[in-house]
Amino acid sequence: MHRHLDLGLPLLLGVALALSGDVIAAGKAREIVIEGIKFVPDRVEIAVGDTIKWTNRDLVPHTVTQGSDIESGTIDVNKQWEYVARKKGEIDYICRFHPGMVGKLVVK
Amino acid sequence: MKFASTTILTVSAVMFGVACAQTGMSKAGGPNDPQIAHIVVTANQIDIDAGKVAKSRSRNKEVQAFADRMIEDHMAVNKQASDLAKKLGVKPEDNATSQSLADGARKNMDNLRKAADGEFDKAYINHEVAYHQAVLDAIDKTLVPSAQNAELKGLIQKVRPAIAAHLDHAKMVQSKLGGM
Repeated sequence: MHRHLDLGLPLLLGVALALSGDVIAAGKAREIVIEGIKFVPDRVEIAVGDTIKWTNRDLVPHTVTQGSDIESGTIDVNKQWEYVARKKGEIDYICRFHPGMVGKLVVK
Repeated sequence: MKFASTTILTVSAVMFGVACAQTGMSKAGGPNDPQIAHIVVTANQIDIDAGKVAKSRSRNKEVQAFADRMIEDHMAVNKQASDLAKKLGVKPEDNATSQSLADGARKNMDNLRKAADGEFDKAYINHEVAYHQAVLDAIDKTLVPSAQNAELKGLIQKVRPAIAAHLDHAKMVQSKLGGM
């Protein structure tokens, strides 16, 4: 389940989180902040079923992209995107917009 | 001829830093907050305009992608700078540095419009490299040290990594185009 969230609408955020309760209940939720043209932290270890949420606290839009398997589309300023890890392995991802922005998910 | 064109573009970009250093107005000769707000908005708008020219002139995918990024990122930064100025009740104030920037931008636009199709990409990217380096220098030496309001200073500090990333991106494209 992948979705974009709007931080400017806390009420909708609450509704969205409530609706995604089934996903969060199935695994842990982890947050990665995008700021200063970096993914922070840039390496995260998770388990299958965990939900990763990227929050863009930067001044410019970003993406979370890994080849053709993971593509967030544009994550605007103060927006979020989340992804549920479905299989074990290492995922090296980038921001399509900014060469040099890299991150790694280790799914155990 | 190519050398002359590149030199003009580079000098006009570097003049940003020189102008910032020479047109001091408040703390230790630096610009005040309304002037800084005007410089930030002007500097962003200049790169948005150059990006739009590149989008219409270049046929190179790397150059097009870079121009897209400049347009989108600088528009995003300008929106937040304008929102912050409004929130703080700061009315951006025109000043010698902004005017110097605008003069340099006009010369750059003239050069880009005159550049032959085969020379456009290098002319655009070479200027982008020089311009972003000049903006970084201005952030470090003038804008951050001069800003008095903490939120304005914070915004400028927060935009610095994006400018540094743009510089790296421009250098990467410059290298693929075969250097200067």
